[in-house]
Amino acid sequence: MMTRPPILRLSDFLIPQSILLDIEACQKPEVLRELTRLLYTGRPDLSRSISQDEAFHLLAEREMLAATGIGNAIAVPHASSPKVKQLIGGFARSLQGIEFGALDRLPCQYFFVLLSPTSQPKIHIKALSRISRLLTLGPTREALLAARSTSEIYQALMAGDEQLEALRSRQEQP
Amino acid sequence: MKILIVGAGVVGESLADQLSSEGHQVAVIDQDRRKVQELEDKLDVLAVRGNAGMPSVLKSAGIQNTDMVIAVTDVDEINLVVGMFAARMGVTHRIVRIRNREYTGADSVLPLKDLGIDHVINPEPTIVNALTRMIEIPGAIDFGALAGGQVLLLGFLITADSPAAGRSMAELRKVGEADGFLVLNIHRGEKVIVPKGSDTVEPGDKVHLVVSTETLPFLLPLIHRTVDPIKQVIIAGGSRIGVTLAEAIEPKVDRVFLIEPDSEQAEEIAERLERTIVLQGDATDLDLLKEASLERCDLFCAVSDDDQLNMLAALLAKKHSKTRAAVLVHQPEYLAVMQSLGVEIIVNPRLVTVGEILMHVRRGHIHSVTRLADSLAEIIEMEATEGSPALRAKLRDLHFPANALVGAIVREGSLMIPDGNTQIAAGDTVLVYALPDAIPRVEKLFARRRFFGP
Repeated sequence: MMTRPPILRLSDFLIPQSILLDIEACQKPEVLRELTRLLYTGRPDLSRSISQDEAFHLLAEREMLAATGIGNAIAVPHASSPKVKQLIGGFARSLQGIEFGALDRLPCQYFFVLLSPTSQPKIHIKALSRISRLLTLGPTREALLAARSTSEIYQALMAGDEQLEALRSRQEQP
Repeated sequence: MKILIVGAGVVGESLADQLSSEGHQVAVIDQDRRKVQELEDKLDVLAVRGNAGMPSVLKSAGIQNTDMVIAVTDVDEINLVVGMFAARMGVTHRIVRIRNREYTGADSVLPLKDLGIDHVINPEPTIVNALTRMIEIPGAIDFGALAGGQVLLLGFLITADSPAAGRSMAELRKVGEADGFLVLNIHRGEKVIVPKGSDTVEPGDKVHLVVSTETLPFLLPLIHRTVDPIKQVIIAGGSRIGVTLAEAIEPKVDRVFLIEPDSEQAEEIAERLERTIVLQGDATDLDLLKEASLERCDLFCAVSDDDQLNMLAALLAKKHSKTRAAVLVHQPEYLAVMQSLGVEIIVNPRLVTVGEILMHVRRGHIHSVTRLADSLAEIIEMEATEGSPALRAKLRDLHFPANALVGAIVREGSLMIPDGNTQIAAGDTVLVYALPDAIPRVEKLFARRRFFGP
């Protein structure tokens, strides 16, 4: 009776175009704007389901309720909407770090933005947990800071995702 | 079910009270004549006075026709003997409380299974784990692990600057659906509220919620704006709990002090613990507390076997520093007092033990029962099985009792926060939060196929 649940991989919701090497903005609202824009690069159809403005307001609204800076220099702004058809994400880095209202008061360097369909909260939760685990892996964090291009960032994220898979399958071995 | 409880201490008595009021046929054995008389007067149970280590006493309490024996006297050895007799006399379920690790440890000379004891109850590891996790999770004042650790039950105090303060349940629910948490109840003063969408969270409230272990980091910023991790801990009392707690937190915090009055005991502990600084003396001696750098203490854990000493030491520590306090309290009467005095974390072994025992008594596929510290509310964790009424309709059409709610569903290994449209499926692990009056109805909803009387 037990069916193995499908594993959510990073490549299911992250495309190489939605990566930003360095965030230019340094204030929270502008950072959110940049992150929103990121979701739309490489996804020309997205603006037909939901406008960039609306997506930005959803993210900002969630951020108003409580910061998504979860400590450890990680921030994961996220929101869901019935207009969104599938889970999508984008990644941006800040070398100098941005004040994002994090729990541990540290500036954030790793930004992962997520937008998901309201009808699929389970997948949203899975994505949040995968990202927060991924961004705590030491080698991934180092590789992300050392990257010199968006493709190096993409490779670092995918390598981290592989590592999570390896960890998981090792745990499942009896 | 016919249940024989041996030992009418705090655990035995509250089990007798609860199980008899749920309609089970309960007999109790205790040595204390006054206690036996009191039980006879107060509860609908058969109370027998005598030494439970004697087969004749067990027989006079009707052990031959009993379905379940629960041995919870203060003496491990008596409990062991009762468990062995019960096995020999054909009692189906034998639940025995044993606290000494020499009996329960993996390296035990005599495996308890060989003695016919099938369920050993020991609240101490659960308590140590809860305290350790509350040190790791900023601001948590209540902790329980559910669904094999995938879901956490947490309690938090809402402060005026907490981002959740002033928010409505509907707002929090919407965020929780995406972020994997659900608010179960609000404690406001003496009241426990099972919240509706229009209720708001107010400063001063204590809330209980369930949250997915993996998305916990996203919940914390809703509770506090900033947090300072716990770096320094003082443990008052070198009890088994005190020593294992020190061992568990040594790698997680900068400094641990342990205060033990008995000099021999203190020496033994100092030898056993690697990084903990052991001080011999009285935890209510302010000079000694200062020696343990009380002014820099983040959490003061009073966990000796003496309730009054624990309370006094914690209050003294709080008065002379900014530390938060965790206090082990055995007597149920003290729980409310401790709360009103501003002690943040109150740990009650009775609740843990009763929860562990109720898990064996409740019908259906129950995995665990967690009692919340300051109310009679329970979190019942169970597997939904084919044919039970709860599977027949969406949650909104199930006529769920008002004082109960489905807090979370773990389906195929991942957490779901249910809403009215959710339909429970066979194989789901379901976490139900219920106040006492709702428990029988919840049990019926999740009973397998047919409803059997108690």
